[in-house]
Amino acid sequence: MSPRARVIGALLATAAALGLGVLAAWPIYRTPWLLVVAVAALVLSAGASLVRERWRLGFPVFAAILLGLFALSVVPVAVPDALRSPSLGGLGAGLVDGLAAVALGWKQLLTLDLPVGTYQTVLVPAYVVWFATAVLVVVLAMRGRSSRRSALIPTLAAIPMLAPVAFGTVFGASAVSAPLHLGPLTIAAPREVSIWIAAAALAAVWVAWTAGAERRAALKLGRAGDPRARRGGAARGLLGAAIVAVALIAGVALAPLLDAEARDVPRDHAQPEIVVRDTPSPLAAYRTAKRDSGFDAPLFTVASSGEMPERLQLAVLDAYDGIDFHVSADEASLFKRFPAGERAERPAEIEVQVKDGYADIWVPIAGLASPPRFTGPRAAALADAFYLNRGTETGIAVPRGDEVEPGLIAGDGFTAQMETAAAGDATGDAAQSLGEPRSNASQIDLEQAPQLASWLETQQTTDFATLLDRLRARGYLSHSLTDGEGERMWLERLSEQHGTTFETSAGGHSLTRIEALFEQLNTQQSAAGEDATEQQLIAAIGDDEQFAAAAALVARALGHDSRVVLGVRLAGGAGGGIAGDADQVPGVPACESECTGEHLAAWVEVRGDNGEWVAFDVTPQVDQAPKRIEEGEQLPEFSTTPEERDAREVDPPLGLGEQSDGESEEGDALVDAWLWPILRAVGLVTAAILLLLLPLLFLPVVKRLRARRRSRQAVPELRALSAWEEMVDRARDAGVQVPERASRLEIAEAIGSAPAVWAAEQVDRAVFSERGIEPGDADMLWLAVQADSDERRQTQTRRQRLRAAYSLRSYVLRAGGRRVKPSDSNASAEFAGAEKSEAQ
Amino acid sequence: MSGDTTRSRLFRTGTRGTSTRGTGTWSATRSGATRTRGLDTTQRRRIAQRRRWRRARERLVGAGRAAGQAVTPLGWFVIAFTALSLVLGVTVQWIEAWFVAVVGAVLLVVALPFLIGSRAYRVGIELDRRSVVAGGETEVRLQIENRAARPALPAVAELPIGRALREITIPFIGPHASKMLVQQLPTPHRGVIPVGPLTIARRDPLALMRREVTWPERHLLYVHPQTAVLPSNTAGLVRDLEGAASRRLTDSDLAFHAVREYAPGDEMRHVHWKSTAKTGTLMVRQYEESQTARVALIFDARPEEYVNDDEFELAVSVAASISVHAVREGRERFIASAWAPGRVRPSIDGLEELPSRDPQQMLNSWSELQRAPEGLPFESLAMSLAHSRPLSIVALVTGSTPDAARLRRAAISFTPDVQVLAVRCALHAEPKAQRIDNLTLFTVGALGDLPQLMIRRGL
Repeated sequence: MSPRARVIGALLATAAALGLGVLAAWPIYRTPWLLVVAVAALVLSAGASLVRERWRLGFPVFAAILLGLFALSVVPVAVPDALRSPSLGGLGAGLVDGLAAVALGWKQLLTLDLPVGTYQTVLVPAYVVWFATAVLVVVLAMRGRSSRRSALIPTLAAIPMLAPVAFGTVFGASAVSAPLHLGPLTIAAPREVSIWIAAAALAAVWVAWTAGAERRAALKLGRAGDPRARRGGAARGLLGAAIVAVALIAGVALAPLLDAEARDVPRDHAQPEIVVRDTPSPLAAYRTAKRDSGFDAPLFTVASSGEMPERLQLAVLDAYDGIDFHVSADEASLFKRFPAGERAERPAEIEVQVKDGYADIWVPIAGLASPPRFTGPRAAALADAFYLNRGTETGIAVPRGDEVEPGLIAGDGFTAQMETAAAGDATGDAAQSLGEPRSNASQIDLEQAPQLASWLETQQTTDFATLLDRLRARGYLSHSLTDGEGERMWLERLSEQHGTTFETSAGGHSLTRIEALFEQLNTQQSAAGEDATEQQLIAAIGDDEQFAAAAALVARALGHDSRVVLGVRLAGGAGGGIAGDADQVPGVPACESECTGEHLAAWVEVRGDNGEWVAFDVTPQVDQAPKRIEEGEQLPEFSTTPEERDAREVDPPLGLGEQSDGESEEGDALVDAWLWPILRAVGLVTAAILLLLLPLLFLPVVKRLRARRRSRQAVPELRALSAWEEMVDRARDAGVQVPERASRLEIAEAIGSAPAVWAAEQVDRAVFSERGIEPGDADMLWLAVQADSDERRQTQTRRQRLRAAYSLRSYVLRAGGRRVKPSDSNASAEFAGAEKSEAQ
Repeated sequence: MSGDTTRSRLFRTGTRGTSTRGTGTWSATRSGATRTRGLDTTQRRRIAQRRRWRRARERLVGAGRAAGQAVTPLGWFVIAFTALSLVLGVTVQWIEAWFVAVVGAVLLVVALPFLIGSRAYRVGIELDRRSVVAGGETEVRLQIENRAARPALPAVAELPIGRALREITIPFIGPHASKMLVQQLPTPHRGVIPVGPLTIARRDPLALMRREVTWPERHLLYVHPQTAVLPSNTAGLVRDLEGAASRRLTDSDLAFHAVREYAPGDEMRHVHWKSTAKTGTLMVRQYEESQTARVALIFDARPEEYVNDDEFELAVSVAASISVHAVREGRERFIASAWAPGRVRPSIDGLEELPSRDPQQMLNSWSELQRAPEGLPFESLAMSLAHSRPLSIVALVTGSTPDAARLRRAAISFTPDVQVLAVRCALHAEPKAQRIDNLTLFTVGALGDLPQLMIRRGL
């Protein structure tokens, strides 16, 4: 294979790899600009590699050229938005952003919602990957011409060829393409699978082409020399194709079986750096907007180029824990960047200006069709900090730079394309578009809410719309506990229009509070009897907060999915929606253009088996005040509901005896409390000291154990022999040069003590005599061992004794001594030993 | 294997004698001397176990190596990609990874049965001739015998011939039958062609795996350069009558010249005692050197002196003709070029002698000769040659690039009594001969010109 052929092959392979990369990354970006990026990566990097080959550039120059090309091309290729405003500052900012995105763009890409288009610098990661792929493939392919050893280097180019497809898969969504039905075959995720197979085939062809080049050339030469060219390759090719086909069919059949449908991609783990869960439930703070101070405070103004959307959502709260409605962890994790919207049915340009009364992270929006363009002094920071949850259509703005006020504050504003068509407008009927419950079983534990359960039982219907209508009709609006100073403005406003009178109502929407609401209804209904009029049944006092929570719980009890939405209704809205127009909700009016605390409303969204969320207003009626009907007993004027939502119910104190028991237990606990840490500390310190001492104690203990094992031999001869070995080992440890392979008497002379000489004779007798040795003599030998070492110890200094205790000579010499040549070492060791003993 | 079994049997009989005495620990602890001879049962078992383990490990390693050799680079790629996909499929549950893993595993499993089976062939490779002249043709005969009791189905063998790999279809061969396969082997160019070893490979259709069986018979086929027969005793090779005394003086020869005073280093046997006795000082004999035709040939192997490959081959042919002629005539010769075959450090003077014991060896070495891009130019070769030995005739063969001036400069290195013949090989040039002092300059356009020029100049 000539170098030219290899370069052309490498360029083709790179082009194919990048083409597959574009296909794999298409769901991420979904913009034709990807092709520009791929072509630029191919042309620039391949050109740089060819220039390097042509002029034999060194690595530093080549790296500099690559970096320069990348830096020059990153803005026009990968940050095309920066070119829209062709000012020098914009270009500079684009360049800085683009280069920073080489390191940071990966996370940005993962946290953005798909498809990302050409938003900001999201194309930079793809450009980096493709650029590097093209460089590596071309450089590796042109390598390794010289020696046989490096002939396999071009083969390695197959690895970077897989990178573009890997990029698409790693940064792609966890959702795969819809299965493809081909007659009896069903191919799961056909798009991803075919891209992978194509990438694998490309790399395999490259490996086969480069690794087999030499052999192919040799075969070609051989065929040229032999006129009778061999045929029969066709059959082999057919067989190969058949094998590949079988393998592919096996893959189609087996892969879905093996796949547990738990596809895991990094995108699923990427959390935006915000925790919506940390913010308090906005529903719990609902009544602050209804105080006099907030009632007329302007929240924001809304202006539209065309129609107004029916309502603007602030927060959607989907989780209820018995205390309040809040954003669940799942939904909170779905807040993503929002680079591009979907087409709206009836889009209108809505402009929102935040006013003094509003300071929160929630952005008032309705079905966004385009990313909001923020205005005001903090526009850029807000644009970077805007996240959208597409499932609930709620947006948040959490500018990091502003520590004082996280979220929107007065002076901020934005314009955005929003959907003004009401959801489910076509069906017209709320009940119809809701459909049947998603499950027959209740989604909440009705035993925890007996009043709700009994109310549902007495209604004798399971249609949510009917139940909600009854709930609203039998409710009565009240925003406050008292009609005192500071919280009477709402009452004045309503009594002017509707003649509303004051009824007290506690705040909060804990389960206890909702139960109290249903208890009011149940008591009234049982008091009113069978044939009561609708007006007689009015009993539940509360406002949007309680009724939204109650309605959501009712929906869940019926088996629907439900969630509570906080927002405002707009007067100029499309109207005629399912939840009715503004006139149907006299309690909380819709706002015209300036929304104040008065207009802040809550409603529920319920989902049946149709799969669509349908909004229902929950505000109770304001026209007819409840009439108390006494049934034998007067109901307490004020409910005993604690005002504090978080107040804990404490059981009344029990008897005295139990109390004293409790105290003694407490005393025990107190003892435990101070004893346990002390014990723990003592234990830990002991363990630490033991661990530190372990290396110090190890050798003496092991030696002692060895001596013990030896002295406990059962056979007297063995015991005598062990005694001798122990004596020799101790002598070795003490530094005596014991001659190798010498007789015992010679060794005893080397040791040089009287007990040793005696012991040598005794042991020799024990080993070699026919009668062996008496047990008593063996024990005497052990005494001799002790006597010998005592004798030695007397002559030693403390330091020498210590050294003997930690000496490894008795082990080392035993293990390694066999290798010493007997003749030489004998003489020298003996000599040295004699000298040593003399010295002692 | 057999070696192992006999060794272990010997070992066992050796230990049987001692094992009758006492218990194992007893004999082991008794004294140091018996420790090496006596082995108890546990030790023996341990040794046997160790040996078994070593054998198993060797077998395992061998099998692993064989398996590694059986996998082609494509196979390695498929294995690696399949393993990676499997890991991805298990850990992150990517369905495409599962798909690729299944496809790869199926490919690998299907590839395995293709490797089963062996060929009980006995293969003999015969070359028609050991050496041929360039431009000729020869035959390679493969004698293939089926040693098995079963017939052998057709197979495709691969025979490396030089750099080419020839695929040879081995036909159906009955049991214990043999077939002769003849391969024509054209030899257009000078060189050495290695033939063999014959390989039969089993591989799957996708070439993921490849099991090779090789018959290690190898041959070398020398393709000699074309040579021209030079007229005998012309060639200028015998300038002087052989054996006649020359004017050069030497310390040791046949023809006595004079007596001179002893100088340190003279040999004692050359002392002329009579003169010494007469003069009173030590006198030694001096001789006249006898004439011998000492021929040297320098072949310029540097590619930059030649216009193209054909000219190089022409020069090789010319040089081979002259040198073979010298060998045939039995001259004392020194044939050298700058081409150092496979040597890490070439000789200091840049001259590499070509072996020239007989014409066959001479031609073989011309077959092996290749270009020497890093060799010294012929001027310096001539200089070192001139200083290395006494010579009577020097032939210098080079290409058309060096002009007459350079050749003259090279000729000046030699003493005037050395006859220098320089041959410029310029393809298709008009043959001509020039004589400048002791330099005879031939320009040869084709190999046939050389004998003509030799005769004409009467050298």
